[in-house]
Parts: sequence; structure tokens; C-alpha cells
Amino acid sequence: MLTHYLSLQFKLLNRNIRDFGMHPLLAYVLIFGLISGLGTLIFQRLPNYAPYIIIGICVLLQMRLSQKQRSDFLQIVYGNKTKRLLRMAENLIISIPFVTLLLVENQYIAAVGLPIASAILAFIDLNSKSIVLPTPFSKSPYEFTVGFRKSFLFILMVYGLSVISVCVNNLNLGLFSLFVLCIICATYYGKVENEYYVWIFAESPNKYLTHKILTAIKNTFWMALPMMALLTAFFPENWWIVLLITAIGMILVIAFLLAAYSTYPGEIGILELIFIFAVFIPPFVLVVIPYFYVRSINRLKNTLV
Amino acid sequence: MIKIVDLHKSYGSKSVLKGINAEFHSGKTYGIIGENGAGKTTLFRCIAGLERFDCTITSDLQPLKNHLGLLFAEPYFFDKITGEEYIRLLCYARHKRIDNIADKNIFDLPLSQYVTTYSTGMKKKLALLAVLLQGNELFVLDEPYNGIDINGSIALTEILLKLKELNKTVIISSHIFSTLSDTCDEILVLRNGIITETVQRADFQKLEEEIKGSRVKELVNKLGLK
Repeated sequence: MLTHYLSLQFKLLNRNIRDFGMHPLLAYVLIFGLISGLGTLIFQRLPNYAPYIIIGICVLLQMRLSQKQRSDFLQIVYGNKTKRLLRMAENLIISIPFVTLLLVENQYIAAVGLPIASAILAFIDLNSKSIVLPTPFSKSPYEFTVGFRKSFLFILMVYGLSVISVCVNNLNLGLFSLFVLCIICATYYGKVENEYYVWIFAESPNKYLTHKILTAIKNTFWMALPMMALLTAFFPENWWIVLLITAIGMILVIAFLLAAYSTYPGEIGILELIFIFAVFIPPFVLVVIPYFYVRSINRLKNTLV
Repeated sequence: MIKIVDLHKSYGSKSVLKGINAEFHSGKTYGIIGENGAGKTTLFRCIAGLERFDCTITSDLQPLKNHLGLLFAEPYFFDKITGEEYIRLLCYARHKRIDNIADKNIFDLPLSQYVTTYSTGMKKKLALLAVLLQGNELFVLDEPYNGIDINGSIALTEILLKLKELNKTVIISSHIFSTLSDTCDEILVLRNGIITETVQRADFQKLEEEIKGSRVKELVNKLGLK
């Protein structure tokens, strides 16, 4: 039963990766490379905090599988005992690259502690459905309202990282947290809404997109403001770098938003993703953003008048 | 007024609507009945402009979609959005400022909770409430009574009568005949992608008997229940 369930999950995951336009094997290599690259960087920059950060990232990922609704479904299908075994197996599989990283970095206590924590987490069901998290973005629907709630723990983590950057007097870490925060904001636009939520708008495609972009810029700014203030206060001579990173982050948010609508009602594919990351090369911004914009307008014409 | 002339819609080689002709006037409520798969939802999606189709749907409301309140049989909701935020989103989309939502919460919905915690009926009520608060001129309601409790059904019937009084146009589908006979001026029978009958209020009873009498008994007998 355990093998059947896990192979089904593996099949579903592969299907999603293929829909995204990538070969699953390549995706796994990339994920592993990303974790090792990012992990090594964290160990280099923050040797004292790195094991905690690595464990934190792993647990955050595992928590996404601990939702009560999902757990209830597994219990109905497999019964309580098998459900716990399945949950443990899932969590342990997720922890593999992180444990490997900890072993490579000679963090043996953390490397033993993480699988234990993963197994314990399999016994905890998170019922986040009923706790309504207040958000400052409720007034301007809806991406930031929903996104803020979904990514709240990640936001807390990057804010924590920025505080650490001040404590250890490491501006680069602070800038990294600021940039990650902008990436989190960008992901709010990574998935286009159900057609009904585009259709309801009494706007032309042009006005609709302009409105979305302005809201995205405004809300990204408010989200980043406390971090910008913190970094500017403690590294005042580098205020312009803080501003520059925020500006680049906002361009990334806009690129994500437009890329999503440029494939509407479909999902962002690998080609769009490549174009998004091309915005980091300055001249490409002038091509990629207008290109996505024009394509988005054409796509939205079928739904908005 | 909304006028549909010779509406055709196909999905690939499958023809769903095969020449729909209909007129919908202000201050009137129209029922659409038909078996599952007859094309009711497709017709609604075409009226809303959510589908591409052959023919033109004309209306004195321009653009029609911006005056249309559309309720799907199974409304879609985002995760992590509260009832109040959902209503605000729909009103915001139509540039409609909404104050005192609590006063307008006639279905006593827990608006400060996430919609994902609502029951099926509560979700339907929320979607309906939001569409009503948008202040539309035309309402297309696909199975609005489905999942709603008895008090909610009574309130919905009253709402539909009120909309008629306010000179709005309402197009509604329902599998519960009494809900249509209580509220509609005309019932359009959709069979195999065409409207086969347009029945006026005076003939509703005849239509109901016809539906009951026709194939239903024959089909039940086929089950061979013992």
C-alpha cells in the first residue's frame, strides 16, 4: 500500500513537471543543485545559523503536506496507522537532500535531528483553515491577501534572516533576504486565476493589466518597506543598493505577473520562465516586459471587453 | 433586451448548441430546463461571453458582460479568502463601493471566516449574495437552489420576485420545477442543443405533467427494482 501510494504521488509529481515543460530528471537535478548551492552559500555566510536555517526550510516544506484536510483524506482512504506511515515516508523523502547537505557540512547532530523532527511532524495535522490571518492587503484584492496568508511562514523566515544580517553585520545576507521577499511576492502572480475572476472585471484588458501592475508595485513596496528601513538604518551608506535590489525585485514581480497573463488561461511554461529570468540582464528588460505585455493584452481580449 | 439568433457552439466535433433562438426582456424571469448535458451551462457561458460561438448576441446593455451577474452551479473560490473579502472582490471588479456588508448579509454567513470552511449551501449563498450586491441589470443563475436550505430557498424566491419588480432580467436554470413555476414568466425547454418549447406561465402545470408523465416512469421501470 505504501509503495502504491508513493509511486502514485511520484507519477503525479512527474506529470506536473512535464506539464511545466521540463523533463522530470532534469527537474530533480536542478532541485538538488539548487538546494546544495543555496545550502553551501548559507553555510559560508552564516556558519552559526546555517543548520537551523536548513532545518527550518525543510520543515516549512513538510508543513505544506501536513494540512488537516489532506490528512483527513488519507485517513479515510488508508486508516490512521497507514496514514501516519505514509506521512512519515513523505516527510523523510523530502528531508533526504537536506540531510545530505548537513552530512556534507559535518553537521551530524542536525543530520540526525532532522529525520527525527520529520517523523514527529507526521503526527501533527495543521488546521490552518479555520484561523484567519489578518493581512494589510485585504482592501486591494486579491493576490496579496491570499499570497500573504499562504506564505506567511516564509515571510517570517526571510524577515528573521534580515534581522540576523543586521546582528552579524552582513549586508549581503540582508540584500539576499530582501530579494527573496520580492521573489515570494512574485510567486503570488505565478498562477493565473480562474477565468471567472478575470471575467467579472468591468475593465478593458489594458486598464485591467495597468491596475494589476500598480497594485503589485504598491503592495510589494509595503511588504518590503520594514526590511528596507531596517537595512537602510543599519547600513546607511548602502541605501542605494537596498533601493536598487527593491527595484529589481519589483521588475521581477511585474515580469511574473505579465508572464502569467501572457499564457492565460494556460499556465506559465518553461519558455516564459526563461524570459522572466532574462530581465536580470538589463537590456532584455526593455524587450521582455513589453513582449509579455502585448501578449497578455491579446490573451485577455477574449475575456475582457 | 437580449436577443440570441441561431446560436451554435461546438467543442471539437461535438455540437452542443445547434441553433438557439431566444429573446429575454427586462422585468421578466426566464427558466431554462433540460436534462444534464442538454447545453444549459454552455448557453449561459455564451451569453456571458466566456465562450466563442457562431452568431451575435445583441443587447441594449453594452458591453453586456459588465451588467451581468453570473452564478455558476459550482462557484469557484480561492483558498485563504474570507467571505467578506470575496464580496469586496466582486464589487470592486464592477467599481461598486460597498459599505456595511454586515447589514446586507441576509443569509447570516460567517463572513470573517475563510470560504473554504463553508458548507456547499453557504458557498452558494455567498456567491449569490456577491452577485446581487454587484448591482447588475441581468442575472444568469445556474442552479441557484442547489444545496441551499429551506429558509435560503424561500429567501431566494423572494429575491427573484424582487428583481422582477426592479425591472431586471433573470435567466435561471433549475432541476426543481416548483422553484421555476414560482418565479418565472416563461420556461424554455432545451433538448439536444435547441430550444424545443417556450412555455408561458399559464401552461406551466401542463409542462410539469408532461415532464413527469413522459419518460420518467418508463426509465424507473427499466431499473427492474424488486
